Amino acid sequence: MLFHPDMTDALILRSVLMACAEKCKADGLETLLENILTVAEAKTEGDDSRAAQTILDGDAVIFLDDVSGMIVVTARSWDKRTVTEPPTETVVRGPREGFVEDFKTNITLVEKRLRTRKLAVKKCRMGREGNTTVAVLYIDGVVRPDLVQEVQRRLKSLEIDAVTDSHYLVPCLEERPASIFPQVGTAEKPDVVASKLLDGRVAVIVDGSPIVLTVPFLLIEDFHSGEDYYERSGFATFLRVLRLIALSLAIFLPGLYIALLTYHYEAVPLKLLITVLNALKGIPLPPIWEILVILMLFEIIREASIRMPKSVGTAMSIVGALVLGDTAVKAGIISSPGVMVVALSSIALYTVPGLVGTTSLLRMLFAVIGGLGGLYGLILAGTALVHYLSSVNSLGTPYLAPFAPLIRSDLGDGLVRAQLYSLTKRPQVIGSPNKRRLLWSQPKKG
Amino acid sequence: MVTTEKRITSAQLACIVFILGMSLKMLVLPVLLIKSVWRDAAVSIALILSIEFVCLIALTVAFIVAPDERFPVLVQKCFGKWVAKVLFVLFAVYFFFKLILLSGEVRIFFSENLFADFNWQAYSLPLFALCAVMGMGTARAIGRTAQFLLPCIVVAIVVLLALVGAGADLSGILPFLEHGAHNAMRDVVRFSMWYGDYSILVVFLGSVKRTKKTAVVTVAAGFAALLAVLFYSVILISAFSSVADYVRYGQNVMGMSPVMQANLMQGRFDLLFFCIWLFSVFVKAGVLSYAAVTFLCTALPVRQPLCSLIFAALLYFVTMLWGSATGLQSFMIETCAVASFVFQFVAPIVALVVAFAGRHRVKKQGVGKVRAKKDKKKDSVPQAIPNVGKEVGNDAK
Repeated sequence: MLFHPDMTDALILRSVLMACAEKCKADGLETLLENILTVAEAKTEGDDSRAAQTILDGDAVIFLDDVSGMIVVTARSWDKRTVTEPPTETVVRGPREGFVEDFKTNITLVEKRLRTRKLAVKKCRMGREGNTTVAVLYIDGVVRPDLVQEVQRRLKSLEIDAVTDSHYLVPCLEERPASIFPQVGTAEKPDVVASKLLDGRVAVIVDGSPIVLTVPFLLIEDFHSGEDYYERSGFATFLRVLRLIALSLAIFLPGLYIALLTYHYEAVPLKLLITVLNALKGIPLPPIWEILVILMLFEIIREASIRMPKSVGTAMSIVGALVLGDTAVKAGIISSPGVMVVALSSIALYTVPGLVGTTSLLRMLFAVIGGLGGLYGLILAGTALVHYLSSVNSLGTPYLAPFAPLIRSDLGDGLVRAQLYSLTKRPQVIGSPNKRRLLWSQPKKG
Repeated sequence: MVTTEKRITSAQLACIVFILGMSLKMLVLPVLLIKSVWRDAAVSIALILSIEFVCLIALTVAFIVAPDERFPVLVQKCFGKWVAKVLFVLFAVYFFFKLILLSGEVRIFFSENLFADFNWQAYSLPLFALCAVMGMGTARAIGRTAQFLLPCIVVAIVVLLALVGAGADLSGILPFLEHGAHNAMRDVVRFSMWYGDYSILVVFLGSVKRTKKTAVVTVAAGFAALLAVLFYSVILISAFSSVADYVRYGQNVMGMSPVMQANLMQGRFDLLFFCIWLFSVFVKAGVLSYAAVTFLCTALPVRQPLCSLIFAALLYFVTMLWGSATGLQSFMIETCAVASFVFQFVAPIVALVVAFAGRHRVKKQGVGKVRAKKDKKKDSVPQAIPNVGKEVGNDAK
């Protein structure tokens, strides 16, 4: 019997050895397997050449003299994190389970929610040195066959040393890997992945990663939260609209503030203008430099508080926000309206967690454009941004759908979240061959 | 390989029509007409809009008649390779000058209304960069852009019209034709570079997914644009035609709304709405650029990205030839007017001719195909069917 000492469960191995010892002289693999099966999960394997890989996966293999083939005993054992609520997708209502680093657990979490034979889990190995297990999940009959083929084709086309996390596969699933906009969805919750599979999407699970990828991915999905579907439709819609407003504020507010104070005073109401000008009195930097300095400060503090140990991180936030910000304002280096604008923009940034990186870059860019070109520059840049987004597709699906192209049947789960039972059809933009999602015969009022 | 739809939808075509129909005509044209013919500008505007609407209907018919084949292919089949090349170059030149005019209007608008010191040498660069980017794009991306931005544009235009319309006294446009019909008619020709925008639509011929509603939504969008321009122009003319000499180029909605509001304590939020409306002008610049680059690429052996870059660079250098925007306006009125007036009819006429010729050809081949099948059945001998499969097909790339 051969096994990897660090990756196998000693108890299982001991039981298997004892079971083997009871049958001192085995006639063949099948008779030995019958004995082993009473104590452990095992199977016969005809291909001896796979023994090394099987051992590296944490399983044990048993050979018999003069018999070809082997018995593979599932004996893998290593420490794994328990299923907890993911930090990036916390909810007030709804399931709190999140994916972990263990591949089997992740698959089980999805299978638990979709107990159907149609759920296909196509496994493959990726990485020359890593030999990581990657699974492509979809629901047969719900997904477009060409979509599955395309995902598998793209994964197969990748030759890489190791896939240490699912994010390594993101560029190969994107049509524009250099873009700052994500074109592949990421989810840490099995309920979210299950509902996306039911929409007709494809999920990719990578061994060792708690992040599951979903394709195709639309921009509007960033404005959705798993919790939206557990709230009343009116409130969920309100939240989505709020996220859109917040994101617009996060991107445009610093640029707009700079543009108004540099070129277009007349657009600001008189009383507000007087207040702002009073606050700006004595500030040595022009608005563009002032806002850029505060934005940079914020980004530095944010990056430092993420990387620092938690205990130091809290102190860091206090030093950054209170001491540095307050002192700089009191010293007259930066103005309080400037700090307020950046603070509001930064808080708004986190209402759409999936776009934090993108929004951070964009607001810097728009701040510079607002300073150089005023409203003219902002509108031009806005047009260019929309045109760019219009040209992006995620595996053939328009990124700006269901708004451009306008797909009326999908608007019920776009910015608005219609009542759950009115979403009778799967998203048309995904192109599922099985269009109907639910049928509800509403009981008559008695 | 996942295939994606390359054509634009009828709704996207309608969005483009609406944007083309009202963007440039609301920027400076009404002021120019007021300065020229005072309150008779209302008649000129009405004539201009009628001419444009007729052209739109003609083009819509072409869209319905030839839904599958693209305009360049149809023209080549109808007129031959070399005539088509000449025609495409002419189209590209027409769109080139329209873009030059658009850039001049943007320059006037911003220097008059929003910037104390508007350095056009520097500020025109991003506009032409946008033209270059949209020029190397696809019809699909342009359609989506128009569709995505349309709600913002519509909201902005409704707010602006409400702001200026609330205190308007429309009796100011009367009496009609105070200075005679001749002046009003003359200005329709003189300012022909400012309209005729629907001729750009020929570039989308064969790239639209035709449905039962295509014709209706296209014409409806054109009519909505017509109403918006007419309503806005009438308000402007009724407000300022008596003092035409004092009207500045920037004295359009931007100048009007504070007059109507008469309360600057609330700030010029109308200015922000106007800037949102300006999306339409920039989208139009993109559509013009896309159309010109597409025709140039068809006529000349140059790849689209390179062609678009050269086109944008050329735009920049040619625009810089005019020191002032008023000089550019004079050039457009004095030199380009007649040619432009004629050319705006050329586009729909050519589109109609090639569309009907294309349909005739397809029908003919269809008959040939049926005959060939019958002969095949009779003789059981395979016969070649010339060009079948080339004519009817989704060639929307």
